[in-house]
Amino acid sequence: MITIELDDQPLELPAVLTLDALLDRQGVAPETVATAVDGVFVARSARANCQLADGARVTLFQPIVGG
Amino acid sequence: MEDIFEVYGERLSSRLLVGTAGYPSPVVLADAIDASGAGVVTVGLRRTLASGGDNGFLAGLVGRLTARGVRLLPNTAGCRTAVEAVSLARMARELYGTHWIKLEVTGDEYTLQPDPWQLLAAAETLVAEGFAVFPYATDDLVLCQRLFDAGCQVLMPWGAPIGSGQGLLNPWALRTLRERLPQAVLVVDAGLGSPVHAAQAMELGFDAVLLNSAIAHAGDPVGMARAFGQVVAGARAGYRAGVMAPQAMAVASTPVFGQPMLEG
Repeated sequence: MITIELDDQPLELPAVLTLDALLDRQGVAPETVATAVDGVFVARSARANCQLADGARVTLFQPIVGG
Repeated sequence: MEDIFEVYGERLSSRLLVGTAGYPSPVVLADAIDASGAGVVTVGLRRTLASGGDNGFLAGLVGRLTARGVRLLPNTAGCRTAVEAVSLARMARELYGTHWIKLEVTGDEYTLQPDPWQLLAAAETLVAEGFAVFPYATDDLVLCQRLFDAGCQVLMPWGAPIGSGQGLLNPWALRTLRERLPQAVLVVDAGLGSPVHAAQAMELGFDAVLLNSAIAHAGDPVGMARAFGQVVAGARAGYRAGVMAPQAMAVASTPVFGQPMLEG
């Protein structure tokens, strides 16, 4: 069992998993968000190789209106 | 005569760029963009937790705009450092599928004035990574020169602080930018409150204007969007036609030489 942070909320996971697996587990369509781990951008193409260790901070970004 | 201007290799016919924030409804937003005739529309991105979604404002709109050739210009609003801005720009490129980025790095919370040092550092990094950078800057000549030297073909100095609607607070500085940076694409961004302000910017020789609040917060956003589109086009046409030089004294417009003096 590990604990990560997803958008500032603690999330317990049964084991280490990859970033793309996390999105799938959370029901987040991969093309709808940009991702960062520990404050560093992780490109969509790199998610499958991004292992989330205990304590990892995952942040999701989405399109929004802007000026 | 056709009046096209080119931005990073993209030919644009409308010299009005508009934002998408602050509209009363998604329908009004979509209709206002249509009415403005803008060929470039700014968008943003935020943390999902912080934004709580955008209530469907962008749902469907992005596809509709891109399908008819409107270019999206994501911004880095909310960033305080070059590192943040570069990271957000990379995310925007992935999410929106464009290498265009409106680079914003705020240096002061009260005025939302850009931080010139962080802005330049971010611009240099992003240009090196192949981004087409549209930096939101102050009207400081040396900063704008440095940004242009760094590879920013487009410069976007403020007319006044964001959302203030005060118009062009320093026309002298803007005129100086136009004179000193003739090769740069200059866009007045921020602070415009009425179509008159946009016309003043165009008559200074600016290539375009970018605005958001003036339309979104108008009593009738769709009508205001149309007004801005018309005025920007008209003022640009007037600029190209050559505005007469102001005269210190009255100069009679009706030729009276040779007319008889009338009595009684």
